[in-house]
This record gives sequence, C-alpha cells and structure tokens, in this order.
Amino acid sequence: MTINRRNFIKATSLAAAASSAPGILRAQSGSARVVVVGGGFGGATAAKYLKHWGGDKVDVTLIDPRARHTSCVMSNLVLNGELPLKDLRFGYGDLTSKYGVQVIKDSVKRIDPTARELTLKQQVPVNYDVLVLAAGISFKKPRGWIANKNPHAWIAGGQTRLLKDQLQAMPAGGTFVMTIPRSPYRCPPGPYERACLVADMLQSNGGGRVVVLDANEGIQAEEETFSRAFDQLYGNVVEYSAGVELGVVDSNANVVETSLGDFSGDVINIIPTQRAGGLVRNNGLTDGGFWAPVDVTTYESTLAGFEDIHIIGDAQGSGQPKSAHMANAQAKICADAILRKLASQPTDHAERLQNITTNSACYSPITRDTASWLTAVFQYDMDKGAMALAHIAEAGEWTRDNYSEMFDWANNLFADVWG
Amino acid sequence: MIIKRKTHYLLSLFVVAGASLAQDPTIDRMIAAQCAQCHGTDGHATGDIDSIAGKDTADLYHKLIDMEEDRAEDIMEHQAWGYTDEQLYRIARYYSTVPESDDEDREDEDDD
Repeated sequence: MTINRRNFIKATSLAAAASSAPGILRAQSGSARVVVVGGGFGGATAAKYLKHWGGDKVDVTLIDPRARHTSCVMSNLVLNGELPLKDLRFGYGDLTSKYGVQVIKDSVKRIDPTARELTLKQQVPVNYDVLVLAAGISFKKPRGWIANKNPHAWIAGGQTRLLKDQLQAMPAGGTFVMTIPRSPYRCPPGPYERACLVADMLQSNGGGRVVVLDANEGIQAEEETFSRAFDQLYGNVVEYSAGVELGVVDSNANVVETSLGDFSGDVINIIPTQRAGGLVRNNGLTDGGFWAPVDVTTYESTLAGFEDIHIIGDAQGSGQPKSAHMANAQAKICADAILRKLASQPTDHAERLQNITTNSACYSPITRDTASWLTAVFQYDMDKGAMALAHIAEAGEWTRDNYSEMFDWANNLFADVWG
Repeated sequence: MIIKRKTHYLLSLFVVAGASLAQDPTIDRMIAAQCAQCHGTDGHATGDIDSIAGKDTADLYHKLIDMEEDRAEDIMEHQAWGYTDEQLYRIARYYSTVPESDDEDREDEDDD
C-alpha cells in the first residue's frame, strides 16, 4: 500500500474546488505539494526560491539520485589542474536546513500526469500538485563511440576526471581532438574555452595540436574573443574547422570519421549532439523533438495532458542559451508563476508579462590566469510570446582581473543555487 | 561614438507619479531576483561583488542609470543596458526593502 496523497486530495477536492486555482487541486487546509526533479542549477534554485518566497504555503520536495551535484561551471579548470573536482560538488543540506526543502535521494522512473504520481526506482511513489522537471541534457550517441574511452566531460563528475587523467598522460607534442555538436548544446562558449585551456597546457609543455571540429558554421559564443585567442595566443596549436559533420567514432583506435576526413589523436573529446534529459524525453514532454516546448511566462509545458508540469533549464526549448546562470534565471520565473497560481492569482497580466526578464552572465578562462566574459539579457516579447534578446555583449579580450572576478561570479552563483 | 539610447525616467517623476507607478512588490521581487546570480540571494554577495541588500532606492537607481548610460565597457554596464528604466527603478526599490547583511563589514566604495 502506498500512501497516496492524491486520493486524499480527490476526496476533499469538491469542497476545495471553488477556491482552487484552475488546474490545481489541493486540500484547502494543507499546503500544495511541489515536487522538483533534478538538483542541478535549475532544480535546486526552483526548490529554494519556492520555499524562500512561498514559506509554509508550499511544501517542496527535491528528488535527485545523487547526494550532491557536480557543477559543470568552472569544470574546465579541473582539466588543467587549477581546481580540484571536489570543490565543484554541492549538497542539498542548506536547502533543507535554511529553507525547509525535503530531499529524496532516488531516481524517477516514470511520470503519470493523470494521477500526478511519480514512480521512483527504490522508494514509494510520490504525488505532486505541481511538478518541476530540471532534467538537464542527454546525448545522441555517435556510432561507435565509447564514452569511457573518448570522454565527453559535458556532464561533470567521473567524465571530467577521466578527461583530466587522459590529458595529463598525453605524450609531449601530442594531439587533442574535440568535436563540437550542432547548436543548441549546453554552455555555448564551453567548447572553445576548453580548447583554449588545453592549448595553454600543451603550449607550456612544449607544443602539440588542438584540433577543433565544429559542426556549426562558426564559433557559437564570444566569437571575437575566441577567434583572437585561437589566432594570437594559440596560432601554433589550435586548428579550428567549422561545418564539420561527425561520422563514426572508432573509440578503440582513437579515430574519428568526419566530413573533412579522418582524424586521429592521443586524446579525443567527443561532445555529442544533445537533447533533453531522459526523464523529459521518455515521458512525451518533447513531443518527439529534442527539447520540451514551454510557455516562458511560467515554464509550464505547452503540450496537452501535461498541465502543471514545468520544465526549466537545459531540457526546455525556448531558444534561450543553455547555461547554468540561465537555468537559475528561469527557475525564479517558474517559482514566481507557481506561487501565483497556487494563490489563485493570474500569471498573465500585463504588469507581470512586461517584467519577465532572464539573463546569462559568465566568465570564460582563456589561459590559466586570464578570462573573458559574456553577458546577455532577455525580455519577454508580448507580441511573439517568446523571450527576446534585449542586449548581448562580450569582453573581446582576456584579463587577469576577469579571472579573479570569475571566482566571485561562480561562488555567488553557487550560493544562490545551493546556499 | 556612443549615442544615448533614450531619455531615462527621472527619479522625481517616479516619486511624484508614485501612485500611478505599478506597486506590486512581488513583481519587483521577480525582476530583482535576476540580480542574485551574481549579487547573492536578496543581494547578499560574497567576495568582491557588491552587496546590494538594504541600499537606498535613489542611490542604487541612479547608479544603475549611470551604468546604463555610460559607454558600456564592463559586464555590469552591459547588464544594466538590457533593462528598462522602470525595471531598474523597481530593482532598486526591492533591494531597499531587504535588510543589509549582518556581517556587512566592507566599506561602500562608490558614490563619488
């Protein structure tokens, strides 16, 4: 027998219906239960801000199979030995002790949107009134690719450590090959940043080659900065090619087939094509596509049959950049919308819509002691019903001051998510 | 050559027209939360980034307007550029209502 809160709610919903927000059935006396799946930048921020702003009016449960999240942000500095991986791990203790978020360590196997029930891998099912999915990314695997031989290191953790170990074991004058997938992918500047840091490592060890094979028509972020860095700092090391389609990967022989020919290397970093995390994709929330369609004023799914299911961060497909900072930004808009709806207030009045903003700001290390930055602000476009770019800028140069500011930026971001 | 984007609202205009300016503080909060990624939850920052919790509305608003109108060079000036003047005002209004950090031991180095 599972404890099924939904049955209790059904029994009392007739009495409560008159005062409930549309689509949300909840007991009049109790607080609504919001379940957030995924404890990364988007999910943890949503859980925290729902409680921070909603207090006792909302009961928030965070579900994640791991006790701690490992941040992709700053993880390229693990590769060149500037940061230990353990410094990028964040637990959920503060979310519980400071904000009252309940944490369940388990995997969600299935979503039943009609019963509003989540089947977990190990524990009893969990019911929700509102569900927030922050499922991140999954990979579309190239043929022949073995991730344990040619790491992606695009979800931080063991893969990051593997790539770091491979880079450290590289012979002098060796070749590093990286493949970049078609946009959109997680962290637009990330691959170019990584290419710079690996080039920096090789150059200070007497040289080598960094072969960058980009499926896109050109550099996808901070184009001025990275073009200059590839040219001025790493002209003898980085070989950048755009419009390169990846074919079969021979992970045993360390060879990749591409539209530009075969490339072999001592270390091969395959960053595969990306799409929404499995939980979102396997439950029909992408409608057969790569990303989940959402209403950007609430982040609720726009697909029929998924009422009160919200998708934030990399897994949603609103066209905003897939970054940690942006996932945090979306989580706050989502939390605001959920709390308004639970209080039977509108989310679509003009005063709110014209003030829906998100932003992304980040620093990119270019060498082991300099960095650049990138920033973008998005505003809700009421005519188009979409987030529109209001302003974007890049540093265009790399400085030591930026490198130092990068740590303040990251630490504040980490604290706003898990602290 | 940098051209000024537009005329900004004068703070006095907001004060005089206060009754007509939208007042829902939860909307202020929603906009202002977008600063917290760098300036800390409710404006309590760590490291060398400015804490903005408890700042005077007029001071913070004018600072943001100055950034927006400056020849944009640093990351914060470019951030300010993306917001409307009314949004900048509402951000400033929100942070004035948040208590300053208890451990606020850094000198305010701006306001020249």
